Amino acid sequence: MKFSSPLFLLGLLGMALPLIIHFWKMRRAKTLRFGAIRFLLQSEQVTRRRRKFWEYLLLLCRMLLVAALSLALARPYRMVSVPAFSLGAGQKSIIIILDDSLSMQRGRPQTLFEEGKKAALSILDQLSDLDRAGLILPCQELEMEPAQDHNPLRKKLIDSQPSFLRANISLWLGRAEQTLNRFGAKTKKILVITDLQKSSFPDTITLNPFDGEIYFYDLGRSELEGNLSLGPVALSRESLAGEQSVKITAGVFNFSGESVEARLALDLGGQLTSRGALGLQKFAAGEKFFVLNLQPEMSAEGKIELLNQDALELDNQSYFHLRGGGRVKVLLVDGNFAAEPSARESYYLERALNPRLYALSRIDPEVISENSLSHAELKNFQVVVLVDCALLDQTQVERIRNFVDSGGGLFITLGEKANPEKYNRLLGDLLPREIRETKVPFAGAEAISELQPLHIDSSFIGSQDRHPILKPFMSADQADPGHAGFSKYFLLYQELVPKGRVILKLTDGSPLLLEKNFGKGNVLLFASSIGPAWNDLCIHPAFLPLVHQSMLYLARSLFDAGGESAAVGDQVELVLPAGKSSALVLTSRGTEMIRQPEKQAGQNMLRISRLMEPGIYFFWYLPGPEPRTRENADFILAVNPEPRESDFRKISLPELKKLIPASALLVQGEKAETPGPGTETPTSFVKKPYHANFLLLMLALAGLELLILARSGWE
Amino acid sequence: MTFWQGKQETLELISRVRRLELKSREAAEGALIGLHRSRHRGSSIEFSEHRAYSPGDEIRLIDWKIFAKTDRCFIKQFEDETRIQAYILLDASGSMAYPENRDKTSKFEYGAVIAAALAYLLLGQGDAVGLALIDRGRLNWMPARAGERHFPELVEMMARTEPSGESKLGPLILELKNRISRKSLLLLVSDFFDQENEIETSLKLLRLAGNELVLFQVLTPEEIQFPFDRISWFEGLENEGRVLIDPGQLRKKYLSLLKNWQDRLKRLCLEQAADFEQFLTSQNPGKMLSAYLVHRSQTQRRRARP
Repeated sequence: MKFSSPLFLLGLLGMALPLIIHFWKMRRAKTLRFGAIRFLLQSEQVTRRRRKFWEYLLLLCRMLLVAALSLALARPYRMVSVPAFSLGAGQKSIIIILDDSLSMQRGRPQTLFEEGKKAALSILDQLSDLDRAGLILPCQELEMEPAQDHNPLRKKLIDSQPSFLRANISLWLGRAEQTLNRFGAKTKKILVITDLQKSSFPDTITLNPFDGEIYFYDLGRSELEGNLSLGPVALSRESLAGEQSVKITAGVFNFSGESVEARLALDLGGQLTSRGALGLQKFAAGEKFFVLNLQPEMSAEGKIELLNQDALELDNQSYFHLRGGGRVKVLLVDGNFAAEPSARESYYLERALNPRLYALSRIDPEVISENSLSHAELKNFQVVVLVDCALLDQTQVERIRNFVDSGGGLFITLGEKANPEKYNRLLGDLLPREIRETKVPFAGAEAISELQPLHIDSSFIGSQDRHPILKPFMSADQADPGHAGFSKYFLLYQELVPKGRVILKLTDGSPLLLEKNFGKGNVLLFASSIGPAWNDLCIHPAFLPLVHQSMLYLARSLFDAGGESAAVGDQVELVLPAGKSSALVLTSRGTEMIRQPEKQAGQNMLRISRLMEPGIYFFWYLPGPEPRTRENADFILAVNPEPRESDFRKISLPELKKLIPASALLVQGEKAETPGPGTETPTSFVKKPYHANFLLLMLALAGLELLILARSGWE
Repeated sequence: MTFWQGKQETLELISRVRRLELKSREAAEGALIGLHRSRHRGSSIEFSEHRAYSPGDEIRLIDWKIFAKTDRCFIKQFEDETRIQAYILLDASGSMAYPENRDKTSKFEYGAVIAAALAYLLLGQGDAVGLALIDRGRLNWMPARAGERHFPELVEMMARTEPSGESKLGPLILELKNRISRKSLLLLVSDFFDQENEIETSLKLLRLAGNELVLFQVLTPEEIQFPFDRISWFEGLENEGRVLIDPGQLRKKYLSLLKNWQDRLKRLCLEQAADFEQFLTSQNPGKMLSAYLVHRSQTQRRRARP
């Protein structure tokens, strides 16, 4: 430690001042003869040790206060070595690229990013007023062009925070070179402060030759750091008996040079649910899965956490969201209830909804006649299915309307008994579209070869933005609904402004399954019969998942086995449903923002250009049901860091030289693994003042003294 | 000692005796104001009760009227209302010299006024009064005698005494107990700043011997309030040593210890059916005595009632 004004150190002699005052006060004390001395002596004896302690502490405090004052006035400083870049004396333009990727958040007690900030500030200190300096923070896409006023740069550097993203240093080096070339400066220098992570320099980018100098200040550790990280979580029900369980799989990566046993914990809804371990070879990845029984009405945020201590802790969590799982009660109102059970229209539907002995189902169907609908307690059900009903009256429809308005689901299937005119009149705005007449596709056929039924258009299979009801249909090999043949169905009126959304179409383009929001609930309209009368869908494997998904969707109990997930830095694009004008987004940090859609190919597209932080994001389409809760969110997205960012392996100097064709490429820094190519750069030192620390100490001591005095006052 | 010094001292003594006599008479007369009933009853013989005759009893005491009615001999018994024998124990130890400032009344001076006033009252009633002074750790003794001529002797003895030396209150009370031949009224005037346990034991023994006890604790306002605020050396008046003290830091503890001792003393008096009065040197002794005497007469009347 050195001092700018060492003369003030004489003030240290003042430390004796409190001692002198103390002894002077003792000497100056008068003698008082007192009658009740025995009680005074007793009091003094009882409190002597405690009083002495506080007295000496106060004395020490005062002595240190004087010492701190004189040290602060002497303005102490320390010479700190700074990256010795040969910046040269002449006028120059430089751009500092400070790596702000996730990997820079490692390091204790100070993160690499903080070290980098200090290095950048010290480089700015070495510049003259004539030098131009610019700044680039790659992940935040912040670019400040070179300017002679360095203060905005300093402020930005001090305020900057690292991100959770990956950095593409090569890309930004190219940008910096372009900027410097545009400015036409004679001496051009780029300073890259980074951990030289290999993944920050993708092979795909080749830079043009640069006539300036590029300096790399290497902050990466010289020893090989071990780090574990988690990949995104996958939710599935594959190879599980029944749909009461879910399989949660997480990818685990070992980016270290030795075998590791990764210890994992599954946390669901803020509670530790399960633990597990996974052995991993060096630089290898593995998968660990947990099987979880779904609880009724489950809607929970979850995360898998790595319990191992490693270099970077921010990549040790992977988030996911589970939704659905409760029991669903469905009321089937059969228009043909009087017939034998096996001859009823609802027979196949009821069997499919709960196959009982053959498979577990969380749907409880109950079949009643149309007449019984008037007495049924609708509040006990989540979904009402009108199966080819004919005798609906105004009162019954009003009850159904109220039921849907308050959040219930309505599934309407048609058939021989359905009268389009009556349905349009009575159900009215409950219907996604008005019903026209029936159509038999091969009506008027003259040869057997012309008796060709229509099929469901299964082109949606594999499409990413298919309706949630259709999510199970992942490939044509599994339960292709297109195999079912339709011999008769109702045509629906075309509307200029569509009230509902078409979920399924027939091969001739006629809508088959449509959806409409009504109040807080949803309505699905199936334009054909649900039984075998007009089609053979009910005997195809696709029937069961289709009706299951439909009922669960209407009951808002659909469990989306795939989950919605993304990586930090991804762009999110969502199609806003018809009738919705904007969306409210709740980010993982708890901030709310309203997003307006953009028109794209006739659709309202909601776009978030870059997801900045990991966690769970909730989306509500507006206008929507109130109050908004996490349970009634329209879209939930789990966002996790990119696992490759956790690989701290460094790029070698030859590789770097190959990628960056600059006239001079120098790698140096306090922790440089590879020394600069033959350049012995002198280390430069800067003054780092410390007087503020002593002023703070003074404040603390003054506070302590006040506390001690107040304490003796209380006593 | 030169002649003049001796003469000067004698003159001072005379002046002190006069002053004490005057003050104590004033206090005693002040104390009598407000008493509803004269304490002076004179000597008489009052009938108390009968008991069966037994050989050896005086024949003149047989109640012949009862003998005539019942044919059995009964003896008349009388309450003996002889003089009360009272001893005043005045503490003249070093601590009683506080405050030593001449402008202020010391605890000893105040105590002497109280003692003399009590003696005056008792002698006025025809009772015998003795005086015991705790002087330099010894008991300075004057036996109990009746008669108003005894008063100046008592006053002179008190006036001659300068408070100094250790208190040794406990052992000296015991010594007093041994010197008293019969049950007496003991009036203890002191600050009671001494070994608490010894004082307790001595008082209990005095009470066990059948004596009636009245404790007058004389204190100064400084001792009660401890109004000091500057760091000072505090020195005892009985060679307890001295100690450097910041009064602000110790006030609370000191006051609590003093209060504890006073509470203990009051509790002891309550247990031993003794009276306890606390006088401050700033208070008018006449008024204080009067208040005490009124209180005493009332409590005695209550006690006398069945």
